[in-house]
Amino acid sequence: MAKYAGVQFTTFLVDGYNLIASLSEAVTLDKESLTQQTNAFGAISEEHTPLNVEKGAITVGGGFYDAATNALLGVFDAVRGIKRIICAGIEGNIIGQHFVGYEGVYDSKYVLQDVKDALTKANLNLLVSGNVDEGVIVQHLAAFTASQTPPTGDSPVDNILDQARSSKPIASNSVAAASVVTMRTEHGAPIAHGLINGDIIFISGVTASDPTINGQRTVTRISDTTFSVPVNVTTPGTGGSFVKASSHHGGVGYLQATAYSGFTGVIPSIMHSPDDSSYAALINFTSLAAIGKQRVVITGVVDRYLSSQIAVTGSGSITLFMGFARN
Amino acid sequence: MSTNYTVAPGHLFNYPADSSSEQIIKNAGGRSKLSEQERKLVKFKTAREGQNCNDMPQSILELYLSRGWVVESKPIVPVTPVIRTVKSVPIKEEDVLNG
Repeated sequence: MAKYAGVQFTTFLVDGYNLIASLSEAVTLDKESLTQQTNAFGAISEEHTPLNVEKGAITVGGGFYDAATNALLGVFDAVRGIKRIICAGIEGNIIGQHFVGYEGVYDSKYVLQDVKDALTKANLNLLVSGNVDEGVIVQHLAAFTASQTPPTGDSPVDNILDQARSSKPIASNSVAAASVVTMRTEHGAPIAHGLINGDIIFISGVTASDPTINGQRTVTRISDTTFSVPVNVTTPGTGGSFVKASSHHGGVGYLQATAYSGFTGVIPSIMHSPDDSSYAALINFTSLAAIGKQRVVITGVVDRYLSSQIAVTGSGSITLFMGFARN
Repeated sequence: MSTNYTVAPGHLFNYPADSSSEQIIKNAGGRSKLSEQERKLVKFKTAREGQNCNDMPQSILELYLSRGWVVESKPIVPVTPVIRTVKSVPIKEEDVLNG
């Protein structure tokens, strides 16, 4: 896993404003699964029961005090009850890197800090009253002056390369017209593969199988711990692992447009593809006519590759960011 | 009579516009791996809801059909009108009286 430094914290977008220039000392991005202490009196150890509720919080320490509309005070001057959409990334403004999306944030505390012979600073504590989503940057913050088709920015997000998704180990694959894959046994029981019919997976590391089953395959589920792939195998194989190339539980798309001029309309879309050749619209955001922000929840299949499409009307310029979090 | 395929409501596709473009992309290993030279050779088509997408790559067409993103529609067969002449027959007075 790569390490990251402050120089890579390049994404802090709030309601269509890029506030990265307002930050100077520290930012924390919290995500907490809430529990309630449930041990009775007399218990000698604590017991905590999950509430299945997530809580998010953002704190900004030592940000620059600035009353401009696109700076800390201008954006956060209302201290409560204001719903916001925030996208923050600590891995760089790069397609495929991770970001955290917040919706429903309200400002709980804003502290100005005057110091002799120094710029006035501001500290912020923000509580999230809504959703926290961890996703990948599909289109990094960039300016566009014309329509774009996938892969915008030259590179799609490949789900199998997302290091946050763990691979599942395979024990063997059989001799069969459609080779049967058996999951590895760990702690006395085979691992459940968690796949359904039609899932597209990427297999790697299988040895001896002739022909190989390594590569992208469509799954037919047999049981919780076995499945077949459409490869006519004549010599069995061992080992290897797979990751899901597609997912079936939808997700959440984020859009932040931080600059807008000239165009009479812009429709940004998040596109997905099983093969990085043919793309379908996953999310068509509402047409933009100014700077703004959107968060859209979708259900159903999300294919392996994610990219973006931008359809503009007229001439002008737009600077925007798009991200997606798979469920 | 060939079947027509149209983009289902709420969907939008962008795909290689012809088999030559599809093959170039396949050989490269995806759109994102195309060289500058190859990019000049490939063409893409955008199909919006209700539009015909018969020219979509076959494997993608089958996948999207199974997901309901593409709708199969039988072509409208032109109907040859059947014209019959109705010959007028005078009603006789006794037919009316006899019911």
